[in-house]
Amino acid sequence: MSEPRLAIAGLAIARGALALGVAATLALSPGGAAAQSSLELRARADSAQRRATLLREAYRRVIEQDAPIADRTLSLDGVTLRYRGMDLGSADSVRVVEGVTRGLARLRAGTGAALPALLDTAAWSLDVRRRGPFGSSDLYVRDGRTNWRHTLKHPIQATDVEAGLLTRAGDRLVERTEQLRDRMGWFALRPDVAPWGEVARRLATNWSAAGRACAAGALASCRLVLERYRPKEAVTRYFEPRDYRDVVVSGASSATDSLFFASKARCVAGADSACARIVRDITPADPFGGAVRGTLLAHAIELGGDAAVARLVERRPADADLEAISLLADAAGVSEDSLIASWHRRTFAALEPASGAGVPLILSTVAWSGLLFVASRRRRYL
Amino acid sequence: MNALARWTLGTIGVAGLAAAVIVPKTGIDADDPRTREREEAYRAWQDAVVDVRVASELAWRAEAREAVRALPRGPGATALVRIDARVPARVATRLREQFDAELRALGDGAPRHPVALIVAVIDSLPARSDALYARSATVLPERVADPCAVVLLTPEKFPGRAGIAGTQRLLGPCAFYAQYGTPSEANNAWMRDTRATAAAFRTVPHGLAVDAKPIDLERRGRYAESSLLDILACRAGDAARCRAVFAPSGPDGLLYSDSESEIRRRVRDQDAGVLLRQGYVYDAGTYVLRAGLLARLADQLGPERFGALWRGSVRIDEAVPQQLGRPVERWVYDEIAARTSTYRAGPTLPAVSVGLALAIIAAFGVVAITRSPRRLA
Repeated sequence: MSEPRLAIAGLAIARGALALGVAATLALSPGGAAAQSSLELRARADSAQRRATLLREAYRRVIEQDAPIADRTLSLDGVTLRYRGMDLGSADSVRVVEGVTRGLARLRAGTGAALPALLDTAAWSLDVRRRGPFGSSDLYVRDGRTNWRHTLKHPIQATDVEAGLLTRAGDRLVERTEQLRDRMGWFALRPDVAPWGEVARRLATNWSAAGRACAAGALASCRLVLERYRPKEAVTRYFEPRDYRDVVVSGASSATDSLFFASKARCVAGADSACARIVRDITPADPFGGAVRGTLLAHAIELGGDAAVARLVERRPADADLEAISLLADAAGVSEDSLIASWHRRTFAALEPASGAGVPLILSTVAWSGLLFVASRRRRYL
Repeated sequence: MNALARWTLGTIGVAGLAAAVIVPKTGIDADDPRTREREEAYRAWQDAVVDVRVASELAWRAEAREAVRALPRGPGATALVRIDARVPARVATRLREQFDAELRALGDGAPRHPVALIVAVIDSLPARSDALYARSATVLPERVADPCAVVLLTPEKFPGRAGIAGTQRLLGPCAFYAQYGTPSEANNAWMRDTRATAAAFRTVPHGLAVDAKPIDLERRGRYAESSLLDILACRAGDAARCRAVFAPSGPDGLLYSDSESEIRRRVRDQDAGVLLRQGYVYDAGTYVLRAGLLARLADQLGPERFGALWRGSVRIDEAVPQQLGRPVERWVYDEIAARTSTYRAGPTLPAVSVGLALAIIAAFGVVAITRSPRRLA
């Protein structure tokens, strides 16, 4: 029996003994569980917690020792990746290698000399887990810091692995830089993801005045949107009095007293003064989100190319004092105002094709109906 | 082989081929012993996690129950307040004021049944993941003369966290005891058996104030309380579920995971009179509808008739027909129907869409049949 198997057998015996112990404690206690004191029940919870911890470790060992693709190492282009795979067959291995190769090539092209810094991890693991007998599977890409999960509706493909590498590299880019941690980086290096249209729609229909003004072309408001998010100043920075009702209705508050709720009811009923009185007690949800701010990073990389990534990866002492926009403008090699203006053009240009894209529904309907109608009138087709 | 058969077989063949190419394959062999081993190990771990939660939930209940048993017993209806000295003064003062205000709102004079507010600081065990949270519970009387108690439990690290959410009233179900006096044995048992599901408050909590307009049952969130499903079934005409809305027999609570339902099922039969409160309400409209049913009954009957019902020897759900002249299922249905929009059970498309689609198909069908050179005759 191999060592992992022995370890699992040992754990199985240990967990059986623990289970017996818990059962015996319950059986011997007078009156059963219902009559147990809080002290006994807390001890029972404690014991159950220890047992759960042991079983979690046992599960991890089963997973780790059960890897058809175990500890493969790929050294490509100066970067070494180690990976393991669960639920992967030998045919999948070829696709994994292809995906890693393509991902590294694309990263090398997009990040230049900064690539090793973005993949500076000891080990990567690829782990495919099934979600029920007929369900899809999840691909986890781990690099010792965080997990990236991707739902697969098909056997693993090279593109899945490639996307995994690009995603993690983008995440690493924002993780490494304090000023960028409030924004998403996962799509910054992925050319197949285009968040622009969604971001434009989100801002155009935003519930904050700053978001709507940015969509209307006010670049000063766009600067507010793209700067680091400041939750404590959110009400004053992003909202105007006419937004207060929305803030009160949807924001979170720790107040539980009846005065607050009475004012809230009056505010919802239409009393602006009541809204203004309690809006400071509300913590509104972030009206933009990390995705909106993340598009500025993606745009800076579009403008500056691999030099921009290298500049972001490189750490200079003076960078610590820079705000996110200054840092990104510096990386892109343009001024802050120019970066914001071009970001605005890039983002809202994505709205234009959305309105007229695709075959109009009426044409599609008429075409199909006509086709079936003609077919029904021609005997030779049947 | 005629043309129709050729077309049919051809279509089936092409569809089969397309399915063979398109239908996803997981690449995982369910019969593989390694897959089974992984699943068993995972299942054992998840079962153990459920065991932890069950033990922890029971421990919270036992702590609440023991705090009430330690109260002094004396004659007469009183309002007792016991607050641990470690609770910050501002929190203690706020809770006392809230307790007094809710009692005053129920009517003149002292409560007609002993009620208690207990704020206890509990020491936490490192293994308990929930040891950082404050919980609140209602302890219904074990024996009918016992006090009805509100117990706020807060961890020793954070004694200032004692309190309730805006979705709750501090008195909770104890408000009925305080307002209408000691209930009969039968009705105290009814409250415990149903876990006061339809009696969570006497007046709607401020945090749950909902619009007066009908609740749209078609629109609901991803998560749901069990009350929503019972109300949907009742609104669709299932009389047994209407009774269950008022007097449920199954476990209550959230339905977003099997393990959560399992925890509630296992905890339910132990310490039945201790109700751990849930702070967050996912669907305020339907929650208020159900949790406020006993309060609605009290409003409809008036204090004298409801008081007699409360103290009478017949269980409330069985006494409703006599008092209101209709079966309890009917009364519950009427209450729900008055506050909700029309609801039809099962998946459905809007009637307008269905009508339009059928009209278009019929129009093409008529043209095809009447204008076709191939007459079916």
